[in-house]
Amino acid sequence: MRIRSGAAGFCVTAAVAAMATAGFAWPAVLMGWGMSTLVMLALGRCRREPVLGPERITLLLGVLTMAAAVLGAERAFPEDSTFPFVSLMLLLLLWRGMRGTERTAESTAAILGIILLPVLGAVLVFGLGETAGKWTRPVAADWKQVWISAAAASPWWCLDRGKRDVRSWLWYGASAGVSLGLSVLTWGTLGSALAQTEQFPLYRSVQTVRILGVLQRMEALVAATLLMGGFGILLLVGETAAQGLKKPNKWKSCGVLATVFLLEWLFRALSEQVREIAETVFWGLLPFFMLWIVFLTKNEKNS
Amino acid sequence: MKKWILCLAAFIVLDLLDLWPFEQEDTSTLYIVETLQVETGPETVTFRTGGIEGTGADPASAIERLEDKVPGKLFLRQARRVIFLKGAERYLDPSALPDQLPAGAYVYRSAEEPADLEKLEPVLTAQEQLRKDIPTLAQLKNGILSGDPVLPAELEGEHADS
Repeated sequence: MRIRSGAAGFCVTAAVAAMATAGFAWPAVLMGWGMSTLVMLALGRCRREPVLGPERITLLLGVLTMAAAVLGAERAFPEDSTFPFVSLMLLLLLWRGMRGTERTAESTAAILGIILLPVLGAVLVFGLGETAGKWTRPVAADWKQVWISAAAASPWWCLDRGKRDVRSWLWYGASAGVSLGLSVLTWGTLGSALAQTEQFPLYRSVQTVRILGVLQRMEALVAATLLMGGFGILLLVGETAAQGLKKPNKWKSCGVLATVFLLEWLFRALSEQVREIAETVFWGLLPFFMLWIVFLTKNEKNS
Repeated sequence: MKKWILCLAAFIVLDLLDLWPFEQEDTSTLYIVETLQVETGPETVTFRTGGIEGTGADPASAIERLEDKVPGKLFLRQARRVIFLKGAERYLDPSALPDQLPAGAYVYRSAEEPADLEKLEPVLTAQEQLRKDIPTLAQLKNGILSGDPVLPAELEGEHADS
């Protein structure tokens, strides 16, 4: 995955925050992003295009990540049974996207990131005023949540930060701020017990937002965030996965997307316990994959 | 041009096969609930709004009955408040309430059914804009889950009798 633009990085991490980490305790999210920042500082700059390693592994991890992104985007409409409609529409769009150039995917994700910033900003500005102080006190962090938060921030490790240091660090800060803000919002409005048991904590949380004492319906903003962010992830990962194909063409792309759809369908058919194991494996692998890309890139640079 | 024709054909097929996942409602047919009253009896649950009620053995069947009776489509997503009547809050788990109710809806309890809900609603709306201590449905659910139950706000005597 090559992300040169901070806005595209924001698109990816803000979407992951809305999909996965919004229901986590904010100290866990803070620690996760803190860990990620330390890793970034330790790794130093990646001034050149990341090296992806063996094609098959790139393709496999790309397909897994795309399936996870499609699953996350389906959460945009928790009160409607939108499967397989939303997945198919996103994958059809991606099919077109995978035929574009590398810059197309990144530019589109960057535009989506620029749109997401004010949308999530509005949700946070209006929502944080509704939080209850007693529910936002620091609590002991769950290490699984810390790890997932760090994994959610890990795409930034291979950001090509060549000449745009300050700007990309600002986008990084915005990503961390939004992730943290969403956690404070869900815990502060729903309470820790409800936030952790709700299947769609952010969606439920924005149902408590009032402006001038009147309850507002901000679910549409959350739905837009999940759809746009999910599509941004799909574009960037799709472009990466396409590099794992030998002589990519539209039929091979079609095969990749069909596999993604099949994986999503299989995941939905799994039992709760097996799903949990699959999710744990996915989040466990993601940071190592990012570290591996940085390692390969640095080694090539040195050789 | 061919692509657009294909897209249009796909849309028509989806619509004809009823595979379109989003429900389209004419907003004029929506029966928008502002206040939902809940009452429990021996092995029954009753939901009441605007003088119409639905009773069932459990909340799901009670809401179905209410859906059948209201003119138009029952719309709970805009509900401002839930009033538990005659101690219903002690017997009904708030997580069993319909999912469409917003988590930010205020919750009240009252020993008696308010005599004139139409007059009461504007008073409660004005109060809700001033007071910060009225619990919400989210707070009630969280209280049950965390083992620290929260009681709904009590409708004061003159309100309950209004």
